Amino acid sequence: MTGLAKYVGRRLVAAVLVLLTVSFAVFALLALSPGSPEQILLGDRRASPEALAAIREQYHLDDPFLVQYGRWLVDAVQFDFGTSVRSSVPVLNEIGERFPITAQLALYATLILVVIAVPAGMIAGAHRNSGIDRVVTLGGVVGVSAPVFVTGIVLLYVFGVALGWFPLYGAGDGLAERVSHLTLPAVALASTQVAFVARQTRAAALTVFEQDYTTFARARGLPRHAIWLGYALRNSALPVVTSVGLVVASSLTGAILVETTFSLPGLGALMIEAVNGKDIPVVQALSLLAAVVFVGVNLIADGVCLALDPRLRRRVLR
Amino acid sequence: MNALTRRDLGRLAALSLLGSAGLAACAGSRTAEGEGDQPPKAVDKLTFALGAAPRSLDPAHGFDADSATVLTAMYDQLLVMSADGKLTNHLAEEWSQPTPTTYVYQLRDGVTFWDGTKLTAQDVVFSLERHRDAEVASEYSIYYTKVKSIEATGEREVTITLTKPDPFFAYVPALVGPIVNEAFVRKQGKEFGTPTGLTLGTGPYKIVSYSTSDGAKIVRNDSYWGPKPAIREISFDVITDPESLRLAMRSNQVGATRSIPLDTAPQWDQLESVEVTYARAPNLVYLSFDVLTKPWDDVHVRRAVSHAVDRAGLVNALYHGHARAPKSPVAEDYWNQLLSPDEVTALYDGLPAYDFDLEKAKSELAQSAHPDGFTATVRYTAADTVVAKTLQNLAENLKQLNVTLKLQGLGGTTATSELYGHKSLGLRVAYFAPDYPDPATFLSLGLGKAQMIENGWNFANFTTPEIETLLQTQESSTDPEIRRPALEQLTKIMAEEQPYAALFMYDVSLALSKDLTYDGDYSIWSLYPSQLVAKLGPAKS
Repeated sequence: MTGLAKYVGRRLVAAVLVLLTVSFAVFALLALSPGSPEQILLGDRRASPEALAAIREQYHLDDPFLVQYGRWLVDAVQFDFGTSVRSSVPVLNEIGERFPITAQLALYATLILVVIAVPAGMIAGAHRNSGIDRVVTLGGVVGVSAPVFVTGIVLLYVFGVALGWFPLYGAGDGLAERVSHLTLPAVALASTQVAFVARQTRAAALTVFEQDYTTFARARGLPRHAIWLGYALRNSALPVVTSVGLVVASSLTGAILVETTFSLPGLGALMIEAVNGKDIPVVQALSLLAAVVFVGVNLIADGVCLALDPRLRRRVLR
Repeated sequence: MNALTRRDLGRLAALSLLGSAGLAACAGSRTAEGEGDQPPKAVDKLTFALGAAPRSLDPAHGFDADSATVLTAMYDQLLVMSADGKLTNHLAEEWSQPTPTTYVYQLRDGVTFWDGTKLTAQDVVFSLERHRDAEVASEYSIYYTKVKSIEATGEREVTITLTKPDPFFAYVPALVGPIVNEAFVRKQGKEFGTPTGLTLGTGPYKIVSYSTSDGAKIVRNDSYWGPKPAIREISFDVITDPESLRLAMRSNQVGATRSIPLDTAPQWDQLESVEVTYARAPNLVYLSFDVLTKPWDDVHVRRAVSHAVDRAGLVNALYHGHARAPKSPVAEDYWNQLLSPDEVTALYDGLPAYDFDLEKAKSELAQSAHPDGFTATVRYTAADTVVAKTLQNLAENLKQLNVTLKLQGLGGTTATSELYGHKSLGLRVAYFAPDYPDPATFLSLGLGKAQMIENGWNFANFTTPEIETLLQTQESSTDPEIRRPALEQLTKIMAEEQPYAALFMYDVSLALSKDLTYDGDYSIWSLYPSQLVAKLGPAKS
């Protein structure tokens, strides 16, 4: 058990370092990028020097860079991420309002993804170079190559306009409405990710099905479901779990194009608005959230791998 | 879409229009369900699509087109503006200017806020004073820089005193003067205008709900003092993708939107259930030549480039005719309160024309210090595809003059930031929409020393002693007889010297489902200085 504690401790220290680095890098990049928030806020409108100065003052933009970062860090560890320059609403409220939409979209898309990609990859791996393998590969390539704003519009046109099954924009209120609003976006999002996970699964399954123990299991006359579930799925699970984890993390941090195409007010849409408006507090909080999500999802994926693979467990937790 | 919306953002503009495309024209055609001679169906609810949710319900912090579409429905102002840019009384039942620096407004009696409290002169003073308060950091503050005091001088009288005469101040109460409730604003403090604090106004619509991500919902104020709007409830929904927006309008999930991307106008015009109104507007796209850098210091070079722009061809190709090729960055429309239509025509006929003519361009270049051509760079916002195509076309034409124009498309807001920051100006693309219907709206910004600073608008760094004197003259008086000759002369100098080459002036648009109509003429002044959505109603058959 001390092995586990040490392992978790090591990972947590690494996570904190990653978060510090990310927050500093993003802060620095924002400071280096041209234009100032108050200028962009006022856009192509004529601004008085007084108005600009007043906004700079409000957001402490005239302080030296390190002072600004220090102030942000001190507030951030107390979970105060400031207020948005664009909307003057606390950043946490903005994110709190949008996170559920992105999270539900990610969950929905992942569900579709796992149900389609993992079996497809396994079957393709088991029947290498067969017709079904080619179909899976081709389908994956199409999904990953078609830009999501095109797939999105096609889905909207077919299922929203022509058939009228699904709404065309927004996130809806209440569970039933939410599910119907998120269906097309989730399909569009999953379509880009299926190829990635299916290929990983196929490659893993390919190796497993060539192993002597699989052949031996077959020779012993074990039923097919036992071979598939007990041998193939479990032994190819590691790369699959890792790749699904990565996909979930990227969906969670904002599926920007999908959210724009389907007018979903999620984190991706917020990120676009914030970056365009040089809304430093929002960009900073979103980047940090992205880092937390990636680190967290990786931790979970590694935990799942440990649970799945006793060899790994022995090596790591020694 | 981004490029067009950005340009359109925040900008008022053009009187113009004048009957050109009154919405009444579409009243004849109806949607399938409204067929026949039945009386117009009352429209109970309307969904109005915005590109983004209002940033705030506080009028001091919502100075952009999407916010204004919602905000103007909830607030009244002392004055409003008609489609042709004329001031009209609103909360003020009359107003006067007893001295060049004093404006006196008499408030209408019996106006109440939504909660029933009576509007007082002190509410008006408080509302306007907020824009001068550094604590508030109002986005409108520039309009109030010449104000000395705003005072309640009677139970229903407000007097504004300026530090010096300002020919444009008359427009300010119409452009940027939404009236809020003092007690409410003070009670809400920092929460005022946010989704939790909301707001309290006197306008034709009351706020129901608001979110910075989702949009807002408003409902008719049935005790409104003025004409009651026809539509009871309006939901402002956010649709970020222009193609999704078109599909949503096509399938009647959305009833109205403004500022459709003009490069997709033909697809919009094909929609059977939607009528798009385009109103001629002075939304300007132009080139600016920094005359402090080579080769742009040479007037012949500037003229040569201006002659190499195929404006008419590009208007058709890029805007599908919903734009015009202007002779000057100063729109003809700005003069209608200073000159008669004939005088405007005479003035513009007298200006040199920089029509598309490569022979003329070559002969101008031959007279310049660079007769054998040169190489130059133009930095612009890559996302603006209309500008990108225009510049590619220009670069192609300039090749025939042995001039190499290098295109540097920049991401995000970099080009805009560099421009406002006056960093490496050279040849640039800029956008402009007028603040008020007067030629000085462009002339006083584009010329003269005062604007040759960071965040100033003289991107050409162009001035002469004569220009400074003329600017001084037109600014220091509200007398049209004094201002007119100075403004005419400045317009001529600008045309002769070409510190700016006007490219296009593009239209403003309003797309409505065919069972709706907009009551009145639609123009660039239909957004900020009027109550756009309150004028929507069922189409008459």
